[in-house]
Amino acid sequence: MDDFEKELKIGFLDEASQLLSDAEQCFLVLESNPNDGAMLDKIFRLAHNLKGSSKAVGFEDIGVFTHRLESFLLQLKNGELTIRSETISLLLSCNDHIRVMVEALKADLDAKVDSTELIERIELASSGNLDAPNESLSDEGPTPEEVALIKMVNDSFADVAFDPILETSAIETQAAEVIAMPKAPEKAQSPAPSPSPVSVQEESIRVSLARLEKLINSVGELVIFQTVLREQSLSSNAHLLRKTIHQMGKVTKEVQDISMSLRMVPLRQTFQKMQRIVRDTSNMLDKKVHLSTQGDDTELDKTVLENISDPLVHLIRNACDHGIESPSVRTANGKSENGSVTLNAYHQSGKLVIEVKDDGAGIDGERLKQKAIEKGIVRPDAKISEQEAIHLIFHPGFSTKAQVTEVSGRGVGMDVVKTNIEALQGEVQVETVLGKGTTFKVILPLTLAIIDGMVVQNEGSRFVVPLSHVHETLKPAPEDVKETIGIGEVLFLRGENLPLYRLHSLLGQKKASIKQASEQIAMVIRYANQPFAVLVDDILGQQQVVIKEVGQEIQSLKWMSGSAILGDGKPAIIIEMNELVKPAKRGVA
Amino acid sequence: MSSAKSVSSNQERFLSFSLGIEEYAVPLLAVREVIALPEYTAVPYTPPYFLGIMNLRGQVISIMDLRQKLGVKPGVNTETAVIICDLNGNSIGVVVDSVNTVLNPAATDISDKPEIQSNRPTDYITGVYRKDKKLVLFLDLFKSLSLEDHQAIKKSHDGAAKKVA
Repeated sequence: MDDFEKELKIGFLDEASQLLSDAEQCFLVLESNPNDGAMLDKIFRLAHNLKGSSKAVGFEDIGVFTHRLESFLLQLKNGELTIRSETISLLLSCNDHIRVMVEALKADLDAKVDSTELIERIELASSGNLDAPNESLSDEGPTPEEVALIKMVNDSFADVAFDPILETSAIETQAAEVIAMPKAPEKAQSPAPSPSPVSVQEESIRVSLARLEKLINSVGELVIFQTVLREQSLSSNAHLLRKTIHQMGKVTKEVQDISMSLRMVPLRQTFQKMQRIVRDTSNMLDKKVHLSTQGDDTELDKTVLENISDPLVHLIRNACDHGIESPSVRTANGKSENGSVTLNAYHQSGKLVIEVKDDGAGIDGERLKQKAIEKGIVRPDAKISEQEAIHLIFHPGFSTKAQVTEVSGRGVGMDVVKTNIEALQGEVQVETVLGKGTTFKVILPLTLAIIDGMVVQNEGSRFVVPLSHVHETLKPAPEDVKETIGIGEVLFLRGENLPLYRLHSLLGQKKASIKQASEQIAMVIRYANQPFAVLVDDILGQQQVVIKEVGQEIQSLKWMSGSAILGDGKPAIIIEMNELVKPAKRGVA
Repeated sequence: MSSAKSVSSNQERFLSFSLGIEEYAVPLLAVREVIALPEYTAVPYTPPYFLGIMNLRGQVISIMDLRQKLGVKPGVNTETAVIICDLNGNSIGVVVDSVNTVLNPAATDISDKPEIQSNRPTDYITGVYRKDKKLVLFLDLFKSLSLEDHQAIKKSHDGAAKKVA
């Protein structure tokens, strides 16, 4: 296989993945409205595109399969078959099957996937219902003659695999053209762009992620040099120089913003995947759930997006399984039979919020508490607030549903969700009203490459602590710090007793001079399972830092989540406080 | 391609440098550049020879003192230099006393290291080369620094952590 052919094939596989996710979306729309003729047209075009280009690049397997699928779609389109939920299921499994083929081919360009079983199912479906009444298109109102014409046009499409396809959505227009010039002019058009659910699409080019990363890295360097330059210019009296540097700073900031935005991708595709999850899950559970999405255009860093998909799937499944009640319960409670799950994404104070909201039963804090006591997670006499009780769902090994289901439960879920989101420097919040529903709020940073950091100084060295980890900072009063032999130092903070660590001893350094805790600053860290406070000499300020990976030799140091280059060009360590205190805690226990 | 070029590619070239009074050499292809000792930031829980991290034009790389690592006494009045090496795509700065010259030894001048009974591991020395009256030791940087260091750093962290507790 020569390189050109290989390139063609790889190009096709990329395109196919896009077509498949478009098609999946269309199937789901079609299910909610089986009479949507325009949608059927679109699906037909997608299948046709796929067939044409797969044959053109030499993937016969996909070509043969899509050809069969296309004929089936044609029957649907012509109203020879009625569209039912089963039909959609079959179409969706066809879609999945093609995706399997595409994935297999991506791994190995000569891969073969057996499709006989599905082809048989299609044959069965297409022969089984041939005499079904012409329902699907009748609402659109074409007369029998028109239907015949449409069929004729379609036939002419189906016969020639390489025909470029007209981008006209209304089939009647095509029919009209055919009346004017029978069987002629389609070929005059250039190949149609792949249709997508978005009505307006900006022009775009594909760039490899590696090149993008390189650009972003270089821009990061530029920003650092700019800062260094600015600091140096402060000691100079050259007015013009300082002015130029100031202006350059503005441009640099803009270049940085643009380059960072290149990594941003809209949430749309991820949200589309969720439609499918809701459909499959609710079918499996015999529930009626409708998913609506808002803010599909909200953009998010690609890396964050890739890692948020699994936790989202889990939250959605949970909402369908544990949140939404069965139809009979819902009617008994005076709710509509159809449950609704809403996915909403929006920006809030420099963060991205994704809400997963259901109108189901809500979370019963009291029941959670009972369960936790049963499982020995919580002591029976423990006083926990309603909010704390609800947060028990994030406890490892916790599942409130009596039965373990295929869909969710087994208790490995929510704690993993929480861990995954926290690994992305994000957090999860829960709001619930018993009987009304539950909202999970996933709050994420817009990007992982830059964080807001607090620069602290200790024993002459500087460190960066992610700002999102620092709950508050304070100068402890002498009477609030108690030193004990048994458990070390303790900080009294508004009725709480927090373990108080000193940064230099956490870092295993000898202290140059013994300072009173009251001369230092305590940072209260709460994102960990147990809140604690860390004493540092001084806080130098807050700034955005670009996270730089450190060499492999020291990546095993878990408490060091990376490094950042500070204004003077010297690198500083970014400290993961939660990890840093861990071994000490283990030692105490 | 000229024949001279193919001859020189048969004979691997080495960068020689001093550690104390001894002379060592590493394959030139592994060397990215040589710089003066920059400012660096110490990293806690690392062995003493791990000096810290430095900023090399926007890239943060580790810097290690090869003299301490190999237990060689640092020389006096030396122009300490840092050799930036590329080890399997990972850059590391190695501190040496001074960088001397590029060697282009004939294959016949390189011999296996003499087998010496010793408790100290010597597998990071790949061969020896006699230049005039001097002995140059060829180093396998990966062996002398990287793999081993992963464990050393981990141990150092665990040990220190216990002390804190």
